Amino acid sequence: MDVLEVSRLSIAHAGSGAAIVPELSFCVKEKSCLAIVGESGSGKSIVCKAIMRLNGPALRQSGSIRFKGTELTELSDDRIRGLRGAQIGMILQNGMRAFDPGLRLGKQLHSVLKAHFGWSREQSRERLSEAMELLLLQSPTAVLNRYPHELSGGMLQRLMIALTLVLQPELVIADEPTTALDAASRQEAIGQLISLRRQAGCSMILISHDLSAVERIADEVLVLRGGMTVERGTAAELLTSPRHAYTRYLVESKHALSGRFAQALGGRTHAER
Amino acid sequence: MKRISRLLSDRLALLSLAVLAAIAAAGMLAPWLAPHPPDEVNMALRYGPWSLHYLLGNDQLGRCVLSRILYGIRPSVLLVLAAVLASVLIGAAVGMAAGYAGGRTDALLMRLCDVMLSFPGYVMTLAVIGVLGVGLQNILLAFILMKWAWFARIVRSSVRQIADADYVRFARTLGTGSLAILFRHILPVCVPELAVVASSSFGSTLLQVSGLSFLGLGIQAPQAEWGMMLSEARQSMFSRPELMLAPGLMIVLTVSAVNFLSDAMQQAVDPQAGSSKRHQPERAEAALIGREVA
Repeated sequence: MDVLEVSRLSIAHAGSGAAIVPELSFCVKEKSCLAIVGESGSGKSIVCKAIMRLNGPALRQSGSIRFKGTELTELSDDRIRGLRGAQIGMILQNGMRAFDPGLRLGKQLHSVLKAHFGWSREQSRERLSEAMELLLLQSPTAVLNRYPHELSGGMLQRLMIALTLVLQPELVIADEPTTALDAASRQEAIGQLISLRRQAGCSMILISHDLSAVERIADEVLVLRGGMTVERGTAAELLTSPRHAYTRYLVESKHALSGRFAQALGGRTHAER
Repeated sequence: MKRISRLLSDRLALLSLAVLAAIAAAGMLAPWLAPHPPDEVNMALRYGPWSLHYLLGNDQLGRCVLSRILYGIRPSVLLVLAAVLASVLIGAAVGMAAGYAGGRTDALLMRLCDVMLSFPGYVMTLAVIGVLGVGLQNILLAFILMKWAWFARIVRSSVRQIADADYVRFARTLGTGSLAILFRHILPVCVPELAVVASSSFGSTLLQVSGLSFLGLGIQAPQAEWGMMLSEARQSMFSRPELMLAPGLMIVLTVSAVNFLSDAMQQAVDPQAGSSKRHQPERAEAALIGREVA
């Protein structure tokens, strides 16, 4: 069964009428992970914001987005707000900027949990600590008592994942979750996204141009260019034997990059062109 | 909390705050503190010199200057403070609505602000006095009408910037409601900025009210107000210049205290010294606008 079905979605500038996404259809199967891959400007993020209905009035959209059989485009603002977070979670690119710098993290996260579940402060703290321990975050109480600027970007990213784990949404949209991280934290974040999928048993949309992350997390891949589907298929198949020229170009440029990296480190150089 | 402790570690700021607090308290407690009724005329004591019984002497009608100064705090300082607070509240509400809603609401409210801001301040004040008559409350009403637009602009520009910040977006993806976002995430960032601008505007408003009272457009005799006391002392400026000292110095003292405090506040909220570095250009802009208001 499909958790999310997007059909004939088109998004255009309200003013000029210029199409950003001409027409796009895709679906996310239950408990599977769909990766949307493409260059910057290919419309990946806008499509995901359209699902959450977070695009402002400057963008006009049409088409149908069905989440577990409910048509999202027709829901009232209140209903969709209830869905956000609790049913459809989102993980943003930059952990550093995702939290209000003026509030302690514990307080901030508690207010979200209180709004969705009506939990008390102790309850929130307990559940967050559990989730953080599952994600191998050390000393959760100390972390929750800190302000965002006192922690590293990778740490905040993990906290975002922990919060998602507590909220247990059906669908998680991870918008470039590894882009802002250094190589070491990237590996860790990938591991955490995998364990988030395992622990929460949720479906996931992974937006990324980090193909190594896609390779490890995603089941299916959708290649997007200029708002149009270029190619789609299972991750294993598509990343090893891309059919379309554009996909091949993406995969090869990634190999060229990582090959150069490996060479610089004195490692294997088989991928070098 | 950090900002407040930083503010209080500045000695000049602490002193200004103490002076202002003392003045405000004296104004509120005037009936108990004043040695004589402020409008008790005693022609035998006309232009009386400083004495133990009348600490600051007597004016041209033999009234106790000290008592008049104390009673004068109410219209000169407390009512002005109330007027500034009212315009800050109106401005903040309008600015937040405009900045957060955006689109047509924003355009409409901002054009309204433009209209208000296109009147020169004194013209508007004189127009209101012309329509509603002479009196302090009419002057303050005119000030509220004029000043809210400034505050609305300042709040709106910082709300706009923060509303686009990633953490507000993240809060929205977590299903946080608009009001909760406004009050929890956006308002606290605007408050320090607003406090700086409001305090400097308070100083200028105080001067303007005193100025208008000096011209006889504000509060009417026999009530005491600093600007009007100056105006009354002007009549005997050459024979008894010392009568101008007490109200004049009080105005200077209060306005300087307010200005020093607002300077110190500006430094206390300076992002370079603090934790967050996000709103630096915005603060500089707010400070500039604040100067213009002053």
